[in-house]
Amino acid sequence: MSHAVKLENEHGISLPPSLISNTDVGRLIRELEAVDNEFEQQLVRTPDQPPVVPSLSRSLAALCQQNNLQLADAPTRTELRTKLVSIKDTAPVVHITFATEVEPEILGQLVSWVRERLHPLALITTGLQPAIVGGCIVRTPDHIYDFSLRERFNATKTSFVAAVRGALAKTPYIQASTQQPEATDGN
Amino acid sequence: MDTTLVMIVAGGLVGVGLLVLIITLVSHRKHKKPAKKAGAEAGKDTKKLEEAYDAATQNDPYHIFGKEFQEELRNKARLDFQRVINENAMFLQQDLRMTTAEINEYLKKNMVQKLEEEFMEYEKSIRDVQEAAVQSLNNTVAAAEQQQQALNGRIEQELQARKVQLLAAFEQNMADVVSSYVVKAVGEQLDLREQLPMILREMESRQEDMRKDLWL
Repeated sequence: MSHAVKLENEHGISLPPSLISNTDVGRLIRELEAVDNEFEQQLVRTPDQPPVVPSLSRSLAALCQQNNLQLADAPTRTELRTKLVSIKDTAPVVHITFATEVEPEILGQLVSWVRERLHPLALITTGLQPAIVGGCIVRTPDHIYDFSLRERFNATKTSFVAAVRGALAKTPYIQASTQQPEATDGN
Repeated sequence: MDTTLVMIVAGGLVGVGLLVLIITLVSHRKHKKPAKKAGAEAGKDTKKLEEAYDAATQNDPYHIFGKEFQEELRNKARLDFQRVINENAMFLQQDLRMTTAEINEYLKKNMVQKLEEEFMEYEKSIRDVQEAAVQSLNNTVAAAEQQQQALNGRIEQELQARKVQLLAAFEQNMADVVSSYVVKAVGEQLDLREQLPMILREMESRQEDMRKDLWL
């Protein structure tokens, strides 16, 4: 179950699970600029009426709700925009590769886990590589962590080969042919 | 052999010549005895007669005999000569026959011996050639067997090397093979939702390392 990250960070903001990648942050920045423009237009068109918050995207709404932000306040919008730009430029990016297309719900859980355990402002990008069969490959700025089934096969290759050899050795023809090179090496 | 035959013929001819000479001398002595007797009986006229005889014989050696007697002597000598010639020819023929027989015997003996020796040499050569051929065949068979063994060994080695290479390649590509098999076998059945706990466990096991990476 996804939940917001409440860790403290230098930006004083927590990212909702729906805000995943750099692209999402960029889209959020553009949307925030559009909202800012909308408020300015309302202020020009109807200066005597209180500003009406336009309809927001789910990500922006979640972000505002999670951080108790009032977008009707101009300094708040400006500060939020500055923080989002800073996050877009400086937040660590974790790239996760899956064997199949990942569902948003599962991706949300992974994002929550990353931001809770690793870094509260971490951004996630995803990739697709069917050859890894299952699991995932996590690439941080400095390392690659292979949690795929292919890596598991590689790790257990020795025992698997030993098992295959043991099975083959029970076959008479294979047994004779596999014993011969040892005798040749002995000579 | 030809030299021996020529020597025998020459010896025969020389013998015949000696016989003719001896017969001629004997016949001259027989004719001289009556002359000496007549000289002794005549006494004084001997010297004269001898001189006359010498003179007469000086001019004509046959004047003391009559023509009939000379003819008779000539016939007798001719007959004797013919007889001696025949006898010698007979002897010569016998010698020739004996010599020919001996030569034949000698030739037969020598030829047989020579032929036997040649045949023995021939048989020995045949045996040597056979032994050489058998030896050569044995050497060829041994060389062929050796080459066959070497070839078998090399083929076996290459086979084993190839097998080792295949096994190494198989082991090297084991993960890909198994992955490909798993992908083909289960394909989309591998649900990421079911894998999520496993993924989270794996990530938790490396949590500190990843955290350090992100906080650098």
